[in-house]
Amino acid sequence: MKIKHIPFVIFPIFFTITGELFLKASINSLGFHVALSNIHVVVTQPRVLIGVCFIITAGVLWLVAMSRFELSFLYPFLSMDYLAIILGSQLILGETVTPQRYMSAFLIMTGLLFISRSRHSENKKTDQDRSLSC
Amino acid sequence: MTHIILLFAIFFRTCTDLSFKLAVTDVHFTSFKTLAPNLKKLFSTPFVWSGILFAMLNLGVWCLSLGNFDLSYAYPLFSIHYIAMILAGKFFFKEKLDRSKLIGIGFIGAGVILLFTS
Repeated sequence: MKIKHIPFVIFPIFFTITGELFLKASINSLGFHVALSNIHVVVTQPRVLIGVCFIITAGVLWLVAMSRFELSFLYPFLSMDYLAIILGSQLILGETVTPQRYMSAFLIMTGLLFISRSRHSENKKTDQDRSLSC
Repeated sequence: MTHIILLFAIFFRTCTDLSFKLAVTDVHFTSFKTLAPNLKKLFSTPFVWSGILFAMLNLGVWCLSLGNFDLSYAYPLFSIHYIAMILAGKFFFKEKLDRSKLIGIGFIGAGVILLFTS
């Protein structure tokens, strides 16, 4: 891994974490209970849309990263989302986070590491593809 | 009962990923020279549009989920979609289900079960 590769993984992680925390904070601040009957009001609130735009940006940036790097390189970074979002939920949103939730995040991160180690997680790429994509 | 909302969010997310996978099968983004024709090809497939539609449904239902659950509960629970994706890859694209993936599914499954007790 080189220094110039860091932005490719840092930006999608940043947008995911900020987006999810911002979206949850926005929904908490609405002042009414969110249900299927008022979902059209919820998704047209500017602050909700800002959170959604962050999440969409993160998704697009992940696609860019996935087109350049292998999943075995990206998934360990992706799995950091789980720890960061649980920490953020506790410290920023003030949710009651039980030790089980931290344990669960740890198990999910381990699971993602195993999936990324699968020999079948990658398409077979030619040497020419690799030289063009990296 | 409200967990059904989360299941719908996971279902729509899985449909989104499957659609985008189908949309990019004939497209090869390897250099900037071929970017324009590849993008044209991509947006002429119906799958890219079904992908965008499912993504919008997913985000709408996700907002509904966040209105009913803690983020520290809903976000890790959403990792079920990795299990759904691996199974969908096996059934729709004949992708190999090897030991690493099975162990990964086991860990994520254990994490999700632990979440229910939290």
